[in-house]
Amino acid sequence: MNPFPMVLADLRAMRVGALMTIILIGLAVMIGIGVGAQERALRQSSARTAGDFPLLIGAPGSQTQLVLTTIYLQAEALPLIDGAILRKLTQDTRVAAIAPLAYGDIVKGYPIVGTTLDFVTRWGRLAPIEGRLFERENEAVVGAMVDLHIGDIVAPSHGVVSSGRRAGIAGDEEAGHRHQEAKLSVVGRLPRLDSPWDRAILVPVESVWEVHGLGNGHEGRADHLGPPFDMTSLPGAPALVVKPKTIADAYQLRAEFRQGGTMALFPAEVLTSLYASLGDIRDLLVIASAMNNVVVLLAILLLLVTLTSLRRKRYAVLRALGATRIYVAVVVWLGATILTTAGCLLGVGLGWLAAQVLSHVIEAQTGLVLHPALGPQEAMLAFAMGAIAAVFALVVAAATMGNSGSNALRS
Amino acid sequence: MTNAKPLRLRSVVVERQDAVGAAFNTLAIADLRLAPGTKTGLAGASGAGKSTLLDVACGLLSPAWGDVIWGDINLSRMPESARDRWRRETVGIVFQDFNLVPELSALENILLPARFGSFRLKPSLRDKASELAARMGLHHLTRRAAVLSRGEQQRVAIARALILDPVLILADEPTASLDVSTAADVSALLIAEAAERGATLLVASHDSLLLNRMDFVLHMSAGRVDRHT
Repeated sequence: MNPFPMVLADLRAMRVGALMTIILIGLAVMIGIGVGAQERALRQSSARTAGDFPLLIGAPGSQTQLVLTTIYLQAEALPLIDGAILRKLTQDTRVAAIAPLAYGDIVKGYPIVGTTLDFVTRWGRLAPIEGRLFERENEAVVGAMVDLHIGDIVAPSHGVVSSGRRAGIAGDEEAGHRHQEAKLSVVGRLPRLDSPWDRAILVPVESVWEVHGLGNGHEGRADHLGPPFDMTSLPGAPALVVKPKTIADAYQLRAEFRQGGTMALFPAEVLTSLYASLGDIRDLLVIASAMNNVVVLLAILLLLVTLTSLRRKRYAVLRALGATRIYVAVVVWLGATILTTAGCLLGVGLGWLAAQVLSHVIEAQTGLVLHPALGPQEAMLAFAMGAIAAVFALVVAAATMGNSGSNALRS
Repeated sequence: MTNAKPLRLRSVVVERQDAVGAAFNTLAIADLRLAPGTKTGLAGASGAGKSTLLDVACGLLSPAWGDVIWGDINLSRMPESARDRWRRETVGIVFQDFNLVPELSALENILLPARFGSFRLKPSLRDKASELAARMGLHHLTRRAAVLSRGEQQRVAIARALILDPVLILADEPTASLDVSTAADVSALLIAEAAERGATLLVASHDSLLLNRMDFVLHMSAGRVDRHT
């Protein structure tokens, strides 16, 4: 038997209804697909960004805030830790490298981060794609997405990047808090990292200290940058990034600096906790979306049962012409399954599109570049939806099996 | 040489239920025999049982009692699927209101019964459909059935009934929806095609012109054959 001419005729007969059905299922499936793909992309991207921060040390407080501010540059005023801690760690034999991170200023909405060359080059992994690294105070290296050029001279303003404000545009607030005496000269640009650091302006930590009247950490040696720092006049910093020599050293340092007025953490452990919360939210959304999908499918099932009952005579004619009950049931089942499968496929496409759009929104707001992609989970979700819909369609098809051809012909 | 066989309805009773669930007979045929290749008309008022008799004769409706026998095949004792196959291979049906699939082309409508039995159409069937259509005076085979005139639609319906070379042709009020001139054309076509195949023709109609061209006419009332002329 060949049911396809009749299936196509049925779909043509209900083309507006068919289109609406496909769109409805597509929208229902989109949510689960979009949420899954987006959450995974967020997880992968945030984990990638955190890779350059082996051990973080800050003042006691929220671990999550320390991670968000330090790694993802989500501005929040952090308490300073004593310069003595930095001094102590620079002399620690378990430490391969250490970098203070100092925040508090912005230029055109881009955060300025004071640090050392070790961290700017991500422990030797990165080199500027344009210009050079900073060699003296008041020189700056910009992230790949910063809208400044080599040779530009800018004045930093005191403040933090408020959420929702577009980077690259100086606000009125920024103009009112400008450090008029401080000028930064852009000397280099870093390669793209697909992280919020692409929108950061990196300067010697000494510049940030000096601008804020804290000295420069090098008593009588104004031209020196980075470690070793002067042990007597070393200012504090909101956070220290420590690269331990070994894993054992990392655990020892973390344990040691979890007491005595400091907080030490591996970003991964905070991220794991965040991912767990994200996962919970995702699971809730996916469950809600799945329930929503089932409700939508049931509504569509009802619609199809109604449509099929309206076509009783049409199918009775087929029976009179010699079609078996099975033929008619297959026509109805295939029609319903084609609609729901098309809806599921549309949902996968819309879900991917939604994840892309959301990624751009997140990137615009945080600088975190996400690469959402569809994976086996999304394929499974769409397949499961299609399979459930196909089973539901059997109900519709089965309903036609009991129709009396003779009665329907005279209806 | 015809492949038509005698059709016999023996002690056939069809029951239906009224609004309060009480059973009543809509068809009660003691013994009706149609010889192969004959043309028989069914006359009678609406509700007399003509359509029910056609449904029983083609195996679409199973009687509560009695036998419907085609040659030596007792349709009443066949499984439904076998009866469906028999109907597809043996019977051609023409309806009063054509019952074409409006979204399909005229050609696809003609070929529709052939879709029930096999996935691929034999090329010879397409040729045959075109030839049938030409004989019916149909020229717009690619047009959707919905846009054809009523006369053209009934011609398509007749071609559809004939595509698998049936030897039993049943027609339920085939001219009732047509104007006089078109009705005469369609009647002539139907009778000529049945005669050419040596098929048995059973026509329920109020059209006296059509009934006058039958070999026999059975007059029905209240589900029974009162007399035949």
